[in-house]
Amino acid sequence: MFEFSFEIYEVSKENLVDYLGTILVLILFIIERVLNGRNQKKDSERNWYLNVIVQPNLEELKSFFKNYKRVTIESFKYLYSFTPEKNNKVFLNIKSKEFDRIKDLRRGEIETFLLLINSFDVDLYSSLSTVIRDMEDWIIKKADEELDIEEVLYDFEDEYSFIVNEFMKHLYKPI
Amino acid sequence: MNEKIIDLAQAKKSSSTAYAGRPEGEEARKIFKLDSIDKDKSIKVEVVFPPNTTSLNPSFFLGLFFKSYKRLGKKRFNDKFKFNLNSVEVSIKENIRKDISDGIEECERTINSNNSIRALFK
Repeated sequence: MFEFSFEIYEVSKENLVDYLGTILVLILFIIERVLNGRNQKKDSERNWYLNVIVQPNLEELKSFFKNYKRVTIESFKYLYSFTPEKNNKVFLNIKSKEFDRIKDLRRGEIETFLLLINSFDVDLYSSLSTVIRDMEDWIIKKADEELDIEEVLYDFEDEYSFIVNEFMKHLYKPI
Repeated sequence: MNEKIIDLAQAKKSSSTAYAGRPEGEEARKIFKLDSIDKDKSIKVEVVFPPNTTSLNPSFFLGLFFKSYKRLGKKRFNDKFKFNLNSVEVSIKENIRKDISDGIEECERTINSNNSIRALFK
């Protein structure tokens, strides 16, 4: 029994470097396969996101933002054209109608797009819908206050550019 | 059963007609002490909109009610909170109802999201 163990010890000692080398190569091979598999999964997820979610909807997104800008400027100009007795019933009604017109843009195509995002990535959905809601809040707050129209339109240009950039930044984050 | 009235007029500047912004909604939540109201099952809440209301943005709704909706669930939330639009202009009521519906849908989406498509890549 003792001799047998000794023989094994002798064999192991002689080939120790070879064994370790083989084991190391094997470990590196497994690590490389696992990482490759993970990278492939990430790549296919990225490609899918870009080709199925982002690119087919890009034109619609651009048209949404363009339309949003046009409608908002129209609404600002229209609402700011009323000066006397801004809180009378007729004006409240007009205001609510204009606000609803702006909200309807959000309720349309962009909402369908955001629902698609929601089924892909909840956090991304949350970031993008927050950007859209922030834009809506900014517009409605400004339209609800009695400010200088020129100043509001000037500020809106800045806010609009900021919002579109934020949206695109979040949209391309997973890529 | 206790009934509590929440007068939304307390949650805005007198000159403004629109409720907008999540931080503003969260601030209103503190004013109305909704965290403790949620915990008391015996309280029913009537949310009263002031006459000059023109808009209730989803962000404000989320700030004010999201925690309650998450805590109570759809059915208990609907049982507990009733929205009173009696003072609002007739022609504006429909828009505010749409706003409330947007807010509730947003709560639902946030709570029931499950990354279902992404799960296919795992």
